[in-house]
Amino acid sequence: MRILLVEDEIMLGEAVRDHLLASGEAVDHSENVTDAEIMMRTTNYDVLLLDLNLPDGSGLDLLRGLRRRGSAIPCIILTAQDQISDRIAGLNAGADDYLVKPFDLNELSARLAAVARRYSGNPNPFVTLDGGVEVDLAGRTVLVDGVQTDLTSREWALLDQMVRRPGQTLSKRQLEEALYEFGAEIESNTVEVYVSRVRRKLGRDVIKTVRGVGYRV
Amino acid sequence: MMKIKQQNSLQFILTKRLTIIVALCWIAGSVLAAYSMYHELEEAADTGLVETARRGSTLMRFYFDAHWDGSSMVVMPTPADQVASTDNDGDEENVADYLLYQLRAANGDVLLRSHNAMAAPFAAPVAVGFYQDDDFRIYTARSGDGQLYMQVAEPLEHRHEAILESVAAQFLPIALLIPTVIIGIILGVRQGLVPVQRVRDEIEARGEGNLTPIEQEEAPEEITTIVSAVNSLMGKLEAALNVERSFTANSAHELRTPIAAALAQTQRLVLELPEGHESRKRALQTEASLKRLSRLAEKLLQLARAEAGGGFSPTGHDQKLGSTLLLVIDDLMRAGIDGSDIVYDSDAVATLEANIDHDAFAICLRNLIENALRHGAKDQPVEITVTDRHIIRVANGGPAIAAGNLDDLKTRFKRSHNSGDGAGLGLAIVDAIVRNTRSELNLYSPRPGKTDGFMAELILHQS
Repeated sequence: MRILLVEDEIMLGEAVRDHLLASGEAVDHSENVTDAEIMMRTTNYDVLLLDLNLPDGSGLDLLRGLRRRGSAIPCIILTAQDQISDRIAGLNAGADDYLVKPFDLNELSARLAAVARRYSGNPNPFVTLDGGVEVDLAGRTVLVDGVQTDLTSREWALLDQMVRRPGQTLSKRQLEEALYEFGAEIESNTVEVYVSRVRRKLGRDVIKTVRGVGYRV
Repeated sequence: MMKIKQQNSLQFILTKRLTIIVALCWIAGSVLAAYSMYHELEEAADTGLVETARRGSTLMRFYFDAHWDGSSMVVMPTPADQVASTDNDGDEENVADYLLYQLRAANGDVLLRSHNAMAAPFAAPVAVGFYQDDDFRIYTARSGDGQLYMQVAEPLEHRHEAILESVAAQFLPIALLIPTVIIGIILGVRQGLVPVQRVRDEIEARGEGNLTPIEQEEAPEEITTIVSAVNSLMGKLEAALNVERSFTANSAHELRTPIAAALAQTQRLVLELPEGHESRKRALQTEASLKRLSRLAEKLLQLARAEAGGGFSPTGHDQKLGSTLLLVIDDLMRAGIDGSDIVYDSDAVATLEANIDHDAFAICLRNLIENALRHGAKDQPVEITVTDRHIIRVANGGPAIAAGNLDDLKTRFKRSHNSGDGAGLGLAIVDAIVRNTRSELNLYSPRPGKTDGFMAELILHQS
């Protein structure tokens, strides 16, 4: 997933970013509202992780502006404001979830996955693919003919993107955007390399190539 | 008689003093009137005696001359038309009986007497003027030729009786009027003090949740200064409370964010260190400590907020709370609580309504449910019941708590078990909010109708 993290506390932001990167997500980190707005204009993010008290404005105002402009990007608020009224205000502004600081990084990952699943139209985390492949999106596990198969974080991220949109063809550029944050070095054949690796582990029939367009499961 | 609420109330004091003053004035006025009436009656009676003696002397002389045989005393007959007369009360009396008279010679001999006079001469000397002894008031007048003396006597007993009756007739209506006047005073004072009571009610209605200024127009001129002082005091109090609340709110942010950063960095460290690395154990211990610190900070901030006052509904009226309770439950479930661990009736929860702020209510319920989940039997769900729209009970199974320890649980850092799990602040926080919002927190163990467990009953204030 391509995630935008808007958090002004650098230590916290770095820890969250590193955690998500380690999970195979692509994370861009902004420390203020202005940068976040610019980044959202140029990139299609799958999820927005949003702090509320930012140096140049309110995260809540940023979210309201997005919703007014018709943006449906899933949003999880990360905030130190723990009152139920703050939570209600956040949800009313268009947030999908609300996580009060301090939070467990694993809980953040679980909520991210849950929100992403809801937006993909399939809240069921268990997906069955061709070739006897079963994917547990919540548990981040893959079984091939009942045997668990380990994937690296990038391999998982690639599979995750396609499994969330079964039947939908994703372009190479879409997959690159989902796999790599700003500044990451991307080789021209990176996507092909990871598709090949996943096919090797799960079977050739799992990921189908749509010539000239992209890939789908 | 109307009830006057408090013996030291302004209404009671005014009523008492006004009643005493009015009663004393009436008594003094009546005594003066009685004194004046006594003298007027004495004067009128004396005038009557003089007139009777002067006019009667000529008549008596004619009668005496016509009937005197030269030796024996003449006795006047009883007047036939005066034997039986009827007074104002309907009692029969001889209206002329009280006057006695004698016609005496200059040497004092009694020549003629009325039928009711004694044969012996009156004690009065034979000289024109008044004379009084213990029994009679006597006036002596000289007859027309100046040789005989007419003495008219009135029994003092009769005169005093007449005066007493007159004074009594004056006092009786006053005695009857006094209760009426007291009622009038009470009503008048009560009516007059209505604006003061209105101001008192306004002040009483103020509290931590309502520090709005009192309307000056409501206040009588005499207490405008007091109202201004009260308004000024409430303004300062509200400002102080706002500063305190703002401080706790800012503290929450300032404290939570660095803890969150430290926890996230530590968790990353745990994940990045390989299994078996000597520092991994320390990192895990640090992570556990940070989580404990996070829980303690959260509870301390909740306690600080609760003790900063407030907690009533912003409108001052009852508001719906069902969705807030569901949000709290949803929040707990997202934090990892199994949905089946909490049992409640959605329809009953939807009826919840009370005069309490959503945040204060959420803090109360979150603490009660967390306590029940933490200390309750793991194989029994926490039961949340709502009755009468404002009573919430949170019950759990598990061993009962000794009755003597129940109230101690509301004390800070007091735990029902020595497990050390939990900050020991949950019920102290709920108790502080309950006190601020005029609600009630009752603790039961074992649960009513059961032999084990614990139940917290929250009776929320309704406007």
